[in-house]
Amino acid sequence: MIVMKNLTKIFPSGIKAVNDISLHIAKGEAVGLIGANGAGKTTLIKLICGLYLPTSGYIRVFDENPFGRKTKASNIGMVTGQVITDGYNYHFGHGSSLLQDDLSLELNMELIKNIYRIPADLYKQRMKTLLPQFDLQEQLPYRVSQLSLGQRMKAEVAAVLLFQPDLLILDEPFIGIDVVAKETIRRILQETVSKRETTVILTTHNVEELEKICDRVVFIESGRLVYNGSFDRLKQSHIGLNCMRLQFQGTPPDLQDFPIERYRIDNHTLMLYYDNSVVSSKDISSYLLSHGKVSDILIQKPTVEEIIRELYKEGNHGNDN
Amino acid sequence: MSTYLQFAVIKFRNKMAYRFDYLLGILNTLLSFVVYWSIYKALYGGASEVDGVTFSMVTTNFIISLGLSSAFHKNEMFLQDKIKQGTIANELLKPVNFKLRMLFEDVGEGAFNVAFNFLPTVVIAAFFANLSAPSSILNVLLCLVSVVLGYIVLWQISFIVQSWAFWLFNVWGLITIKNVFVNILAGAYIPMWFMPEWLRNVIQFTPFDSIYFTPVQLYLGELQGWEILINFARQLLWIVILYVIGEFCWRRGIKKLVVQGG
Repeated sequence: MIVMKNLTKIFPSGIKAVNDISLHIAKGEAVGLIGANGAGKTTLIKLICGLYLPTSGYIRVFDENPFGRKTKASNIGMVTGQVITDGYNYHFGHGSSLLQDDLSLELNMELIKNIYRIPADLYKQRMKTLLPQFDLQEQLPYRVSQLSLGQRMKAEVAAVLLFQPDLLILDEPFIGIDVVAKETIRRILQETVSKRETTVILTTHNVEELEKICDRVVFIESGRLVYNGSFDRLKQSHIGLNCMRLQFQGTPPDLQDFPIERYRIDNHTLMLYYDNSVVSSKDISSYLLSHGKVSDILIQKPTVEEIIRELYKEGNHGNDN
Repeated sequence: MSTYLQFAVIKFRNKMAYRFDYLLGILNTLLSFVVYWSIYKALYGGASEVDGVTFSMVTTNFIISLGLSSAFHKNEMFLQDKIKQGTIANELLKPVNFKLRMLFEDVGEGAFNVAFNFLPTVVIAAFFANLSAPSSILNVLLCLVSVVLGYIVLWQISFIVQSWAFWLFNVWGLITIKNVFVNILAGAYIPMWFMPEWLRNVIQFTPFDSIYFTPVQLYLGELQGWEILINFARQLLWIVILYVIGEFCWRRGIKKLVVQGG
Protein backbone atom coordinates (compact mmCIF):
# COMPACT_ATOMS: atom_id res chain seq x y z
CA MET A 1 0.00 0.00 0.00
CA ILE A 2 1.16 3.51 -0.73
CA VAL A 3 0.73 6.64 1.39
CA MET A 4 1.82 10.11 0.30
CA LYS A 5 1.41 13.31 2.24
CA ASN A 6 2.23 16.69 0.73
CA LEU A 7 4.80 15.05 -1.48
CA THR A 8 6.84 17.53 -3.49
CA LYS A 9 9.68 17.12 -5.93
CA ILE A 10 11.35 20.27 -7.21
CA PHE A 11 14.16 19.82 -9.70
CA PRO A 12 17.17 22.15 -9.51
CA SER A 13 15.87 23.87 -12.64
CA GLY A 14 12.98 25.07 -10.49
CA ILE A 15 10.35 22.86 -12.08
CA LYS A 16 7.84 21.57 -9.55
CA ALA A 17 7.33 18.18 -11.17
CA VAL A 18 5.30 16.93 -8.22
CA ASN A 19 3.62 19.60 -6.17
CA ASP A 20 2.07 18.89 -2.78
CA ILE A 21 0.42 15.59 -3.66
CA SER A 22 -1.40 13.60 -0.99
CA LEU A 23 -2.62 10.21 -2.04
CA HIS A 24 -3.49 6.83 -0.59
CA ILE A 25 -3.47 3.63 -2.62
CA ALA A 26 -4.69 0.47 -0.91
CA LYS A 27 -3.35 -3.02 -1.45
CA GLY A 28 -4.86 -4.69 -4.48
CA GLU A 29 -6.21 -1.46 -5.89
CA ALA A 30 -5.81 -0.53 -9.56
CA VAL A 31 -5.20 3.14 -10.09
CA GLY A 32 -5.00 4.94 -13.40
CA LEU A 33 -2.55 7.79 -13.33
CA ILE A 34 -3.26 10.30 -16.04
CA GLY A 35 -2.19 13.70 -17.17
CA ALA A 36 -0.66 15.38 -20.17
CA ASN A 37 2.97 14.77 -21.11
CA GLY A 38 5.17 16.52 -18.60
CA ALA A 39 2.42 16.63 -15.98
CA GLY A 40 4.58 14.77 -13.49
CA LYS A 41 3.33 11.20 -13.81
CA THR A 42 6.72 9.63 -14.36
CA THR A 43 8.27 11.72 -11.58
CA LEU A 44 5.56 10.50 -9.22
CA ILE A 45 6.25 6.92 -10.27
CA LYS A 46 9.95 7.37 -9.70
CA LEU A 47 9.26 8.80 -6.25
CA ILE A 48 7.17 5.73 -5.47
CA CYS A 49 10.00 3.51 -6.66
CA GLY A 50 12.51 5.40 -4.54
CA LEU A 51 14.46 6.50 -7.59
CA TYR A 52 14.03 10.19 -6.80
CA LEU A 53 14.71 11.94 -3.55
CA PRO A 54 11.60 13.92 -2.53
CA THR A 55 12.19 17.62 -1.93
CA SER A 56 9.65 17.57 0.88
CA GLY A 57 6.71 15.56 2.11
CA TYR A 58 6.11 12.06 3.30
CA ILE A 59 5.98 8.85 1.34
CA ARG A 60 5.67 5.24 2.43
CA VAL A 61 5.48 2.24 0.16
CA PHE A 62 4.74 -1.03 1.94
CA ASP A 63 5.41 0.79 5.23
CA GLU A 64 8.90 1.66 4.05
CA ASN A 65 10.48 4.87 2.95
CA PRO A 66 11.22 3.91 -0.66
CA PHE A 67 14.26 6.14 -0.80
CA GLY A 68 15.85 4.62 2.28
CA ARG A 69 15.49 1.24 0.65
CA LYS A 70 18.44 2.17 -1.54
CA THR A 71 16.36 1.75 -4.67
CA LYS A 72 16.46 -2.01 -4.67
CA ALA A 73 13.13 -3.72 -4.60
CA SER A 74 12.09 -7.22 -5.47
CA ASN A 75 8.43 -6.47 -4.74
CA ILE A 76 8.09 -3.68 -7.28
CA GLY A 77 7.80 -4.38 -10.97
CA MET A 78 7.93 -1.61 -13.52
CA VAL A 79 7.24 -1.75 -17.23
CA THR A 80 7.96 1.31 -19.30
CA GLY A 81 6.87 1.80 -22.85
CA GLN A 82 7.40 5.22 -24.30
CA VAL A 83 9.15 7.24 -26.90
CA ILE A 84 12.81 6.91 -26.21
CA THR A 85 15.81 8.70 -27.54
CA ASP A 86 19.23 7.21 -27.94
CA GLY A 87 20.86 10.60 -27.81
CA TYR A 88 21.10 10.94 -31.57
CA ASN A 89 17.69 10.20 -32.96
CA TYR A 90 14.24 10.23 -31.57
CA HIS A 91 12.40 7.11 -32.43
CA PHE A 92 9.42 5.18 -31.25
CA GLY A 93 10.32 2.28 -29.21
CA HIS A 94 10.14 0.78 -25.82
CA GLY A 95 12.86 1.61 -23.42
CA SER A 96 13.77 -1.82 -22.24
CA SER A 97 12.52 -2.04 -18.70
CA LEU A 98 13.11 -5.65 -17.89
CA LEU A 99 14.27 -7.33 -21.05
CA GLN A 100 17.67 -7.07 -22.62
CA ASP A 101 17.74 -6.42 -26.36
CA ASP A 102 20.62 -8.71 -27.19
CA LEU A 103 19.37 -11.74 -25.28
CA SER A 104 16.88 -14.27 -26.56
CA LEU A 105 13.48 -14.16 -24.90
CA GLU A 106 14.12 -17.49 -23.20
CA LEU A 107 17.40 -16.30 -21.68
CA ASN A 108 15.72 -13.04 -20.70
CA MET A 109 13.17 -14.99 -18.74
CA GLU A 110 15.96 -16.94 -17.07
CA LEU A 111 17.61 -13.63 -16.28
CA ILE A 112 14.43 -12.48 -14.52
CA LYS A 113 14.33 -15.78 -12.68
CA ASN A 114 17.89 -15.15 -11.56
CA ILE A 115 17.45 -11.50 -10.59
CA TYR A 116 14.27 -12.08 -8.62
CA ARG A 117 15.41 -15.44 -7.28
CA ILE A 118 12.37 -17.38 -8.44
CA PRO A 119 12.56 -21.05 -7.38
CA ALA A 120 12.98 -23.41 -10.34
CA ASP A 121 9.64 -25.21 -9.95
CA LEU A 122 7.68 -21.98 -9.59
CA TYR A 123 9.48 -20.61 -12.62
CA LYS A 124 8.51 -23.60 -14.74
CA GLN A 125 4.94 -23.46 -13.57
CA ARG A 126 4.55 -19.75 -14.23
CA MET A 127 6.21 -19.94 -17.64
CA LYS A 128 3.76 -22.71 -18.53
CA THR A 129 0.80 -20.45 -17.84
CA LEU A 130 2.22 -17.10 -18.96
CA LEU A 131 3.63 -18.07 -22.35
CA PRO A 132 0.38 -19.39 -23.84
CA GLN A 133 -1.55 -16.52 -22.25
CA PHE A 134 0.62 -14.05 -24.09
CA ASP A 135 1.04 -16.29 -27.13
CA LEU A 136 4.80 -16.08 -26.86
CA GLN A 137 5.88 -19.74 -27.07
CA GLU A 138 7.13 -19.33 -30.60
CA GLN A 139 9.17 -16.27 -29.73
CA LEU A 140 11.35 -17.93 -27.06
CA PRO A 141 14.46 -18.49 -29.20
CA TYR A 142 14.42 -15.01 -30.73
CA ARG A 143 16.37 -12.05 -29.55
CA VAL A 144 14.17 -9.41 -27.98
CA SER A 145 15.40 -6.88 -30.53
CA GLN A 146 13.92 -9.10 -33.25
CA LEU A 147 10.43 -9.06 -31.73
CA SER A 148 7.73 -6.73 -32.95
CA LEU A 149 6.71 -3.90 -30.68
CA GLY A 150 3.54 -5.73 -29.68
CA GLN A 151 5.36 -8.98 -28.96
CA ARG A 152 7.97 -7.08 -27.05
CA MET A 153 5.48 -5.33 -24.83
CA LYS A 154 3.69 -8.61 -24.20
CA ALA A 155 7.03 -10.11 -23.26
CA GLU A 156 7.74 -7.23 -20.90
CA VAL A 157 4.44 -7.71 -19.12
CA ALA A 158 4.94 -11.49 -19.02
CA ALA A 159 8.38 -10.91 -17.52
CA VAL A 160 7.04 -8.65 -14.81
CA LEU A 161 4.27 -11.11 -13.95
CA LEU A 162 6.86 -13.86 -13.75
CA PHE A 163 8.12 -12.60 -10.41
CA GLN A 164 4.68 -11.48 -9.22
CA PRO A 165 5.49 -8.13 -7.65
CA ASP A 166 3.24 -6.69 -4.96
CA LEU A 167 3.28 -3.40 -6.78
CA LEU A 168 3.03 -3.37 -10.54
CA ILE A 169 3.73 -0.10 -12.32
CA LEU A 170 2.96 0.23 -16.00
CA ASP A 171 4.09 3.46 -17.59
CA GLU A 172 2.42 3.90 -20.99
CA PRO A 173 2.39 0.19 -21.84
CA PHE A 174 0.04 0.61 -24.80
CA ILE A 175 2.00 3.11 -26.86
CA GLY A 176 2.55 2.06 -30.43
CA ILE A 177 1.31 -1.51 -30.18
CA ASP A 178 -1.31 -3.26 -32.26
CA VAL A 179 -4.89 -3.92 -31.20
CA VAL A 180 -4.43 -7.65 -30.65
CA ALA A 181 -1.41 -7.23 -28.39
CA LYS A 182 -3.19 -4.42 -26.59
CA GLU A 183 -6.18 -6.64 -25.93
CA THR A 184 -4.04 -9.50 -24.70
CA ILE A 185 -2.18 -7.28 -22.27
CA ARG A 186 -5.39 -5.64 -21.12
CA ARG A 187 -7.13 -8.96 -20.54
CA ILE A 188 -4.28 -10.33 -18.47
CA LEU A 189 -3.98 -7.13 -16.47
CA GLN A 190 -7.70 -7.34 -15.76
CA GLU A 191 -7.20 -10.88 -14.46
CA THR A 192 -4.30 -9.74 -12.31
CA VAL A 193 -6.33 -6.89 -10.88
CA SER A 194 -9.35 -9.12 -10.19
CA LYS A 195 -7.27 -11.30 -7.87
CA ARG A 196 -6.75 -8.23 -5.65
CA GLU A 197 -3.26 -9.30 -4.66
CA THR A 198 -1.27 -6.90 -6.78
CA THR A 199 -1.48 -3.14 -6.52
CA VAL A 200 -1.46 -1.71 -10.02
CA ILE A 201 -0.54 1.78 -11.12
CA LEU A 202 -1.15 2.42 -14.79
CA THR A 203 -0.41 5.52 -16.79
CA THR A 204 -1.93 5.73 -20.22
CA HIS A 205 -3.64 8.09 -22.60
CA ASN A 206 -5.94 5.34 -23.66
CA VAL A 207 -9.35 5.81 -22.08
CA GLU A 208 -10.75 2.40 -22.99
CA GLU A 209 -7.90 0.45 -21.46
CA LEU A 210 -7.90 2.63 -18.40
CA GLU A 211 -11.60 2.16 -17.90
CA LYS A 212 -11.39 -1.60 -18.23
CA ILE A 213 -8.45 -2.08 -15.90
CA CYS A 214 -8.63 0.60 -13.22
CA ASP A 215 -11.05 1.30 -10.39
CA ARG A 216 -9.83 4.77 -9.74
CA VAL A 217 -8.43 7.70 -11.65
CA VAL A 218 -5.79 10.08 -10.42
CA PHE A 219 -5.32 13.06 -12.65
CA ILE A 220 -2.25 15.25 -12.42
CA GLU A 221 -1.75 18.58 -14.08
CA SER A 222 1.47 20.57 -13.75
CA GLY A 223 2.51 18.44 -10.81
CA ARG A 224 -0.73 18.97 -8.91
CA LEU A 225 -3.36 16.41 -8.11
CA VAL A 226 -6.46 17.64 -9.88
CA TYR A 227 -8.87 14.75 -9.67
CA ASN A 228 -8.84 11.66 -7.53
CA GLY A 229 -11.96 9.58 -7.72
CA SER A 230 -13.82 6.59 -9.03
CA PHE A 231 -14.18 5.89 -12.68
CA ASP A 232 -17.90 5.47 -12.29
CA ARG A 233 -18.45 9.08 -11.43
CA LEU A 234 -16.46 10.16 -14.45
CA LYS A 235 -18.34 7.78 -16.65
CA GLN A 236 -21.71 8.96 -15.46
CA SER A 237 -20.82 12.51 -16.11
CA HIS A 238 -18.92 12.37 -19.35
CA ILE A 239 -17.93 9.15 -20.98
CA GLY A 240 -20.52 8.28 -23.55
CA LEU A 241 -20.71 11.87 -24.59
CA ASN A 242 -19.41 12.94 -27.95
CA CYS A 243 -17.14 15.87 -28.36
CA MET A 244 -17.47 18.04 -31.46
CA ARG A 245 -14.84 20.60 -32.16
CA LEU A 246 -15.57 23.25 -34.72
CA GLN A 247 -13.33 25.92 -36.12
CA PHE A 248 -15.20 29.00 -37.28
CA GLN A 249 -14.32 31.95 -39.43
CA GLY A 250 -16.01 34.59 -37.35
CA THR A 251 -18.34 34.07 -34.40
CA PRO A 252 -19.98 30.71 -33.84
CA PRO A 253 -23.80 30.80 -34.12
CA ASP A 254 -26.11 30.41 -31.14
CA LEU A 255 -27.01 26.82 -30.19
CA GLN A 256 -29.54 27.22 -27.39
CA ASP A 257 -32.22 25.04 -28.99
CA PHE A 258 -30.06 21.92 -28.92
CA PRO A 259 -29.85 19.73 -25.79
CA ILE A 260 -26.10 20.14 -25.45
CA GLU A 261 -24.52 18.90 -22.19
CA ARG A 262 -21.87 21.60 -22.14
CA TYR A 263 -19.96 23.83 -24.49
CA ARG A 264 -16.92 26.04 -24.48
CA ILE A 265 -15.75 28.77 -26.83
CA ASP A 266 -12.08 29.60 -27.27
CA ASN A 267 -11.55 32.35 -29.83
CA HIS A 268 -13.09 30.85 -32.94
CA THR A 269 -13.17 27.29 -31.69
CA LEU A 270 -16.38 25.83 -30.35
CA MET A 271 -16.26 22.66 -28.22
CA LEU A 272 -19.53 20.81 -27.75
CA TYR A 273 -20.19 17.86 -25.47
CA TYR A 274 -23.46 16.09 -26.19
CA ASP A 275 -25.15 12.72 -25.84
CA ASN A 276 -25.50 11.20 -29.28
CA SER A 277 -28.65 9.34 -28.27
CA VAL A 278 -30.35 12.62 -27.33
CA VAL A 279 -29.18 14.75 -30.19
CA SER A 280 -27.47 13.40 -33.29
CA SER A 281 -24.15 14.61 -34.62
CA LYS A 282 -25.83 15.02 -37.98
CA ASP A 283 -28.43 17.50 -36.68
CA ILE A 284 -25.89 19.61 -34.83
CA SER A 285 -23.37 19.72 -37.62
CA SER A 286 -25.89 20.46 -40.37
CA TYR A 287 -27.34 23.28 -38.26
CA LEU A 288 -23.93 24.77 -37.62
CA LEU A 289 -22.75 24.35 -41.20
CA SER A 290 -25.77 26.25 -42.46
CA HIS A 291 -25.66 28.98 -39.78
CA GLY A 292 -21.95 29.73 -39.52
CA LYS A 293 -18.76 29.72 -41.52
CA VAL A 294 -17.19 26.45 -40.44
CA SER A 295 -13.61 25.90 -41.56
CA ASP A 296 -12.93 22.64 -39.74
CA ILE A 297 -14.92 20.02 -37.90
CA LEU A 298 -13.85 17.14 -35.69
CA ILE A 299 -16.05 14.69 -33.83
CA GLN A 300 -14.56 12.33 -31.29
CA LYS A 301 -15.02 10.65 -27.94
CA PRO A 302 -13.53 12.97 -25.36
CA THR A 303 -10.31 11.74 -23.79
CA VAL A 304 -10.21 11.28 -20.05
CA GLU A 305 -7.93 14.27 -19.82
CA GLU A 306 -10.44 16.46 -21.61
CA ILE A 307 -13.25 15.28 -19.39
CA ILE A 308 -11.32 15.90 -16.24
CA ARG A 309 -10.08 19.23 -17.42
CA GLU A 310 -13.69 20.18 -18.06
CA LEU A 311 -14.65 19.00 -14.59
CA TYR A 312 -11.80 20.93 -13.11
CA LYS A 313 -12.75 24.12 -14.90
CA GLU A 314 -16.22 23.88 -13.45
CA GLY A 315 -14.74 23.77 -9.99
CA ASN A 316 -16.30 20.35 -9.66
CA HIS A 317 -13.12 18.64 -8.56
CA GLY A 318 -12.38 16.96 -5.31
CA ASN A 319 -12.05 13.64 -3.60
CA ASP A 320 -14.96 11.33 -3.45
CA ASN A 321 -13.42 8.14 -2.18
CA MET B 1 27.62 -15.04 -5.73
CA SER B 2 25.94 -17.76 -7.77
CA THR B 3 23.38 -15.15 -8.86
CA TYR B 4 26.13 -13.12 -10.47
CA LEU B 5 27.82 -16.14 -11.95
CA GLN B 6 24.48 -16.91 -13.56
CA PHE B 7 24.59 -13.53 -15.32
CA ALA B 8 27.86 -14.59 -16.92
CA VAL B 9 26.46 -18.01 -17.79
CA ILE B 10 23.36 -16.51 -19.41
CA LYS B 11 25.46 -14.14 -21.54
CA PHE B 12 27.76 -16.98 -22.51
CA ARG B 13 24.84 -19.19 -23.53
CA ASN B 14 23.32 -16.33 -25.50
CA LYS B 15 26.54 -15.87 -27.45
CA MET B 16 26.69 -19.63 -28.00
CA ALA B 17 23.22 -19.55 -29.51
CA TYR B 18 24.37 -17.00 -32.06
CA ARG B 19 27.99 -18.14 -32.29
CA PHE B 20 28.13 -18.02 -36.09
CA ASP B 21 27.51 -14.28 -35.91
CA TYR B 22 30.89 -13.97 -34.27
CA LEU B 23 32.99 -16.06 -36.66
CA LEU B 24 34.08 -12.92 -38.46
CA GLY B 25 35.48 -11.67 -35.17
CA ILE B 26 38.27 -14.25 -35.48
CA LEU B 27 39.17 -12.85 -38.88
CA ASN B 28 39.27 -9.38 -37.39
CA THR B 29 41.60 -10.36 -34.57
CA LEU B 30 43.74 -12.42 -36.90
CA LEU B 31 44.01 -9.59 -39.38
CA SER B 32 45.23 -7.04 -36.85
CA PHE B 33 47.68 -9.62 -35.54
CA VAL B 34 49.03 -10.30 -39.03
CA VAL B 35 49.42 -6.57 -39.71
CA TYR B 36 51.53 -5.95 -36.60
CA TRP B 37 53.37 -9.23 -36.98
CA SER B 38 54.35 -8.35 -40.58
CA ILE B 39 55.50 -4.87 -39.63
CA TYR B 40 57.78 -6.22 -36.92
CA LYS B 41 58.95 -9.04 -39.16
CA ALA B 42 60.13 -6.44 -41.64
CA LEU B 43 61.66 -4.35 -38.87
CA TYR B 44 63.58 -7.34 -37.56
CA GLY B 45 64.74 -8.05 -41.14
CA GLY B 46 65.82 -11.58 -40.27
CA ALA B 47 67.70 -10.60 -37.13
CA SER B 48 67.13 -13.09 -34.33
CA GLU B 49 66.95 -10.46 -31.63
CA VAL B 50 66.94 -6.72 -31.08
CA ASP B 51 68.07 -5.30 -27.73
CA GLY B 52 67.78 -8.79 -26.26
CA VAL B 53 64.19 -9.15 -27.42
CA THR B 54 63.64 -12.07 -29.78
CA PHE B 55 61.14 -11.93 -32.61
CA SER B 56 59.14 -14.76 -31.10
CA MET B 57 58.84 -12.72 -27.87
CA VAL B 58 57.40 -9.86 -29.92
CA THR B 59 55.04 -12.24 -31.69
CA THR B 60 53.90 -13.65 -28.36
CA ASN B 61 53.39 -10.15 -27.00
CA PHE B 62 51.10 -9.33 -29.90
CA ILE B 63 49.10 -12.52 -29.72
CA ILE B 64 48.47 -11.99 -25.99
CA SER B 65 47.85 -8.25 -25.99
CA LEU B 66 45.99 -7.87 -29.30
CA GLY B 67 44.17 -11.16 -28.80
CA LEU B 68 43.07 -10.29 -25.31
CA SER B 69 42.14 -6.73 -26.20
CA SER B 70 39.56 -8.03 -28.63
CA ALA B 71 38.49 -10.84 -26.33
CA PHE B 72 38.23 -8.74 -23.18
CA HIS B 73 34.65 -7.69 -23.41
CA LYS B 74 33.30 -4.47 -22.04
CA ASN B 75 29.91 -3.23 -23.08
CA GLU B 76 31.15 0.33 -23.29
CA MET B 77 27.94 2.07 -24.30
CA PHE B 78 25.86 0.23 -21.70
CA LEU B 79 25.68 2.96 -19.09
CA GLN B 80 25.30 5.77 -21.60
CA ASP B 81 22.45 3.99 -23.38
CA LYS B 82 20.62 3.36 -20.12
CA ILE B 83 21.07 6.96 -19.02
CA LYS B 84 20.06 8.42 -22.39
CA GLN B 85 17.02 6.20 -22.73
CA GLY B 86 16.01 6.96 -19.17
CA THR B 87 15.82 3.25 -18.41
CA ILE B 88 18.61 3.46 -15.84
CA ALA B 89 15.80 3.86 -13.28
CA ASN B 90 14.37 0.49 -14.26
CA GLU B 91 17.81 -1.05 -13.87
CA LEU B 92 18.33 0.46 -10.43
CA LEU B 93 15.01 -0.93 -9.30
CA LYS B 94 16.20 -4.49 -9.82
CA PRO B 95 17.31 -6.14 -6.59
CA VAL B 96 20.87 -6.80 -7.71
CA ASN B 97 24.09 -4.81 -7.60
CA PHE B 98 24.15 -2.94 -10.88
CA LYS B 99 27.92 -2.79 -11.24
CA LEU B 100 28.55 -6.40 -10.32
CA ARG B 101 25.87 -7.52 -12.71
CA MET B 102 27.39 -5.42 -15.48
CA LEU B 103 30.82 -6.88 -14.75
CA PHE B 104 29.64 -10.48 -14.74
CA GLU B 105 27.66 -10.06 -17.93
CA ASP B 106 30.82 -8.74 -19.57
CA VAL B 107 32.79 -11.64 -18.07
CA GLY B 108 30.32 -14.05 -19.66
CA GLU B 109 30.80 -12.49 -23.08
CA GLY B 110 34.54 -12.24 -22.49
CA ALA B 111 34.72 -15.94 -21.65
CA PHE B 112 32.94 -16.69 -24.90
CA ASN B 113 35.35 -14.47 -26.80
CA VAL B 114 38.36 -16.17 -25.21
CA ALA B 115 37.03 -19.59 -26.17
CA PHE B 116 35.76 -18.75 -29.66
CA ASN B 117 37.93 -15.84 -30.71
CA PHE B 118 41.19 -15.74 -28.77
CA LEU B 119 41.99 -19.47 -28.71
CA PRO B 120 41.19 -20.09 -32.41
CA THR B 121 43.33 -17.06 -33.28
CA VAL B 122 46.23 -18.48 -31.27
CA VAL B 123 45.88 -21.88 -32.93
CA ILE B 124 45.74 -20.39 -36.44
CA ALA B 125 48.62 -18.00 -35.73
CA ALA B 126 50.75 -20.87 -34.41
CA PHE B 127 50.80 -22.35 -37.94
CA PHE B 128 52.67 -19.46 -39.49
CA ALA B 129 54.11 -17.39 -36.67
CA ASN B 130 56.78 -18.56 -34.32
CA LEU B 131 55.21 -18.21 -30.88
CA SER B 132 57.31 -18.62 -27.76
CA ALA B 133 56.49 -21.64 -25.66
CA PRO B 134 55.64 -20.78 -22.04
CA SER B 135 58.67 -21.03 -19.79
CA SER B 136 56.85 -23.43 -17.47
CA ILE B 137 53.42 -24.71 -16.44
CA LEU B 138 53.64 -22.56 -13.32
CA ASN B 139 54.19 -19.54 -15.53
CA VAL B 140 51.08 -20.36 -17.53
CA LEU B 141 49.05 -20.51 -14.31
CA LEU B 142 50.54 -17.25 -13.03
CA CYS B 143 49.82 -15.70 -16.42
CA LEU B 144 46.16 -16.81 -16.24
CA VAL B 145 45.74 -15.24 -12.80
CA SER B 146 47.24 -11.99 -14.01
CA VAL B 147 45.03 -12.08 -17.12
CA VAL B 148 41.98 -12.07 -14.83
CA LEU B 149 43.43 -9.24 -12.73
CA GLY B 150 44.36 -7.35 -15.91
CA TYR B 151 40.81 -7.70 -17.15
CA ILE B 152 39.42 -6.22 -13.93
CA VAL B 153 41.83 -3.27 -14.27
CA LEU B 154 40.73 -2.71 -17.88
CA TRP B 155 37.05 -3.11 -17.05
CA GLN B 156 37.21 -0.55 -14.28
CA ILE B 157 38.93 2.03 -16.49
CA SER B 158 36.08 1.54 -18.92
CA PHE B 159 33.49 1.83 -16.15
CA ILE B 160 34.96 5.11 -14.92
CA VAL B 161 34.83 6.67 -18.39
CA GLN B 162 31.31 5.29 -18.93
CA SER B 163 30.09 6.79 -15.67
CA TRP B 164 30.84 10.26 -17.00
CA ALA B 165 27.71 9.81 -19.10
CA PHE B 166 25.85 11.09 -16.04
CA TRP B 167 27.28 14.54 -16.78
CA LEU B 168 28.25 14.49 -20.46
CA PHE B 169 25.84 14.19 -23.32
CA ASN B 170 27.93 11.67 -25.17
CA VAL B 171 30.92 9.68 -23.92
CA TRP B 172 31.51 7.73 -27.13
CA GLY B 173 34.34 10.04 -28.19
CA LEU B 174 36.01 9.79 -24.81
CA ILE B 175 35.73 6.02 -24.88
CA THR B 176 37.40 5.91 -28.29
CA ILE B 177 40.24 8.13 -27.09
CA LYS B 178 40.57 6.04 -23.94
CA ASN B 179 40.85 2.86 -25.99
CA VAL B 180 43.65 4.30 -28.13
CA PHE B 181 45.48 5.42 -24.99
CA VAL B 182 45.03 2.08 -23.30
CA ASN B 183 46.14 0.09 -26.32
CA ILE B 184 49.27 2.21 -26.82
CA LEU B 185 50.26 2.51 -23.17
CA ALA B 186 49.46 -1.12 -22.43
CA GLY B 187 51.83 -2.24 -25.17
CA ALA B 188 49.26 -3.67 -27.57
CA TYR B 189 50.61 -1.69 -30.54
CA ILE B 190 54.25 -1.22 -29.56
CA PRO B 191 55.77 -3.84 -27.29
CA MET B 192 56.73 -2.33 -23.94
CA TRP B 193 60.38 -3.36 -24.45
CA PHE B 194 60.78 -0.93 -27.34
CA MET B 195 59.26 2.05 -25.58
CA PRO B 196 61.67 4.85 -24.72
CA GLU B 197 63.07 4.62 -21.22
CA TRP B 198 61.31 7.76 -19.99
CA LEU B 199 57.93 6.55 -21.28
CA ARG B 200 58.33 3.19 -19.58
CA ASN B 201 59.14 5.02 -16.36
CA VAL B 202 55.95 7.02 -16.70
CA ILE B 203 53.86 3.96 -17.57
CA GLN B 204 55.15 2.26 -14.44
CA PHE B 205 53.09 4.71 -12.44
CA THR B 206 49.92 4.03 -14.45
CA PRO B 207 47.61 0.99 -14.46
CA PHE B 208 48.19 0.37 -18.18
CA ASP B 209 51.13 -2.02 -18.13
CA SER B 210 49.35 -4.27 -15.66
CA ILE B 211 46.63 -5.02 -18.24
CA TYR B 212 48.52 -7.01 -20.91
CA PHE B 213 52.20 -6.62 -20.23
CA THR B 214 52.24 -8.31 -16.82
CA PRO B 215 50.60 -11.44 -18.27
CA VAL B 216 53.04 -11.36 -21.20
CA GLN B 217 56.03 -11.11 -18.87
CA LEU B 218 54.73 -13.91 -16.67
CA TYR B 219 54.11 -16.13 -19.67
CA LEU B 220 57.61 -15.59 -21.00
CA GLY B 221 59.13 -16.10 -17.56
CA GLU B 222 60.66 -12.62 -17.55
CA LEU B 223 59.72 -12.08 -13.92
CA GLN B 224 61.38 -13.91 -11.08
CA GLY B 225 60.67 -14.31 -7.37
CA TRP B 226 59.90 -10.97 -5.80
CA GLU B 227 59.17 -9.38 -9.16
CA ILE B 228 56.20 -11.69 -9.57
CA LEU B 229 54.78 -10.65 -6.21
CA ILE B 230 55.42 -6.98 -6.90
CA ASN B 231 53.62 -7.21 -10.22
CA PHE B 232 50.62 -8.97 -8.70
CA ALA B 233 50.60 -6.38 -5.92
CA ARG B 234 50.60 -3.61 -8.53
CA GLN B 235 47.64 -5.18 -10.31
CA LEU B 236 45.74 -5.50 -7.04
CA LEU B 237 46.62 -1.97 -6.00
CA TRP B 238 45.30 -0.60 -9.28
CA ILE B 239 42.13 -2.63 -8.91
CA VAL B 240 41.56 -1.01 -5.50
CA ILE B 241 42.41 2.51 -6.67
CA LEU B 242 40.26 2.25 -9.80
CA TYR B 243 37.45 0.73 -7.77
CA VAL B 244 37.47 3.70 -5.40
CA ILE B 245 37.44 6.17 -8.30
CA GLY B 246 34.72 4.21 -10.08
CA GLU B 247 32.57 4.05 -6.95
CA PHE B 248 33.04 7.76 -6.40
CA CYS B 249 31.90 8.60 -9.96
CA TRP B 250 29.05 6.10 -9.81
CA ARG B 251 27.70 7.36 -6.49
CA ARG B 252 27.96 10.97 -7.55
CA GLY B 253 26.13 10.04 -10.74
CA ILE B 254 23.35 8.27 -8.85
CA LYS B 255 23.11 11.19 -6.46
CA LYS B 256 22.72 13.53 -9.41
CA LEU B 257 20.06 11.24 -10.81
CA VAL B 258 17.93 11.09 -7.66
CA VAL B 259 18.16 14.81 -6.98
CA GLN B 260 18.19 16.32 -10.46
CA GLY B 261 16.30 13.62 -12.28
CA GLY B 262 17.22 11.94 -15.49
